Amino acid sequence: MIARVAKGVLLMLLTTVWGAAGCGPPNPTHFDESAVAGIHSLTVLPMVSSSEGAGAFASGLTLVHLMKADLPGLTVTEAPALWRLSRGATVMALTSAADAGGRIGADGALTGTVVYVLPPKDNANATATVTVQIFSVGSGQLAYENTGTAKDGNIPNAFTRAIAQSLIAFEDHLRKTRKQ
Amino acid sequence: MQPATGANRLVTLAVAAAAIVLVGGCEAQWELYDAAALGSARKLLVMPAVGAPGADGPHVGPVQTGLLITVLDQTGRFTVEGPCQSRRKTIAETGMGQAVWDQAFQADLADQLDADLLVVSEVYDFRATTQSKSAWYYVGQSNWTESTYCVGVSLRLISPADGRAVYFGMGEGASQLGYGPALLDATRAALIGVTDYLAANPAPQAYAEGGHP
Repeated sequence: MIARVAKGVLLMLLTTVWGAAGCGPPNPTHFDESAVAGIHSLTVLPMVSSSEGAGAFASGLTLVHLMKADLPGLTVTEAPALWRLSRGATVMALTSAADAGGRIGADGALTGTVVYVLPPKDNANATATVTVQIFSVGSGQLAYENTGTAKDGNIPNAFTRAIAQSLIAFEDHLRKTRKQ
Repeated sequence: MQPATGANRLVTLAVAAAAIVLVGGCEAQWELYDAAALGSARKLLVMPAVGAPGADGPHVGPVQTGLLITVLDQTGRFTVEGPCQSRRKTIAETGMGQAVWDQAFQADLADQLDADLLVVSEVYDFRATTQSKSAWYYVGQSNWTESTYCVGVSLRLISPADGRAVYFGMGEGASQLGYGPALLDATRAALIGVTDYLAANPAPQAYAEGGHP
């Protein structure tokens, strides 16, 4: 019995030290809670990347991730695909994301940047760094921004983990503040 | 030797299936969000696929678009249209300006082209890995390299009216022959949820007799 209590106390102490040392999930670089509160429909725009295709791929995985998360009071849709018809690589500038979101008819527009390092050899880890930005369409202001990084031998896993890491504070906030 | 029981057979089949998948180098992951929308879709509009990162990847987009049109057409269930008409109409009406982000315009375009779903795709992996090999013969040593071509494809079927995802699929393929077979395997793997659904839900008789709707 005493051993169990001692174990519990030790675990609590370790958890406190871990949290105090800043080892918990990192805080987002920008989080405007009042702007996030006004977002009930979110459209996922293509992300920007210097690696061909990585931005569009990350956007697709972000859409799927948010759909799986099934966040309360939030509907998620994919932005119109017509930009793909352009022959050049015309992914929008980040500043016009809120404008695009308005044309789409959503409360929020999600976009961001992707840095992706392709593993040159077999069994090497792919590295994906995803910075997610959510704009409030009404005010045109940045409501949320955060970055996630992950390494994985499986390319989609690296992206998915980086995306999940970048959205963790946004998801936690919606789960705490909205009813299912 | 004892006769195989039902459980033994099941285990043997599972192991054999896993071995086939591993040897073939194909992996798939998919989600069908709206079975009714897929089941009632008759015409698909394929958007240009986006190329892959890496040295060989940037030009694979058009190849993937063509392959996707072919694989979807081979299901025999849909009329599949490539990007030509939608590109022409979009350029004529928007000049490819900010209006491409207009949800109502996309819905209207799909309506004009009588399309039920949009197909968007990305190739996320497109690279060859090489392995050095050597062997000793009586007369000396022989060295050579073997290449394996790896391809990963992600695709989504989207409702043009509101941007809702109807289907998501990801597939991977590997081949020692070249990128072609690997890309085909990856595309088929990414569409496995669609083909499985169509096989389990055949088209109504009148619809099937006329071939394509």
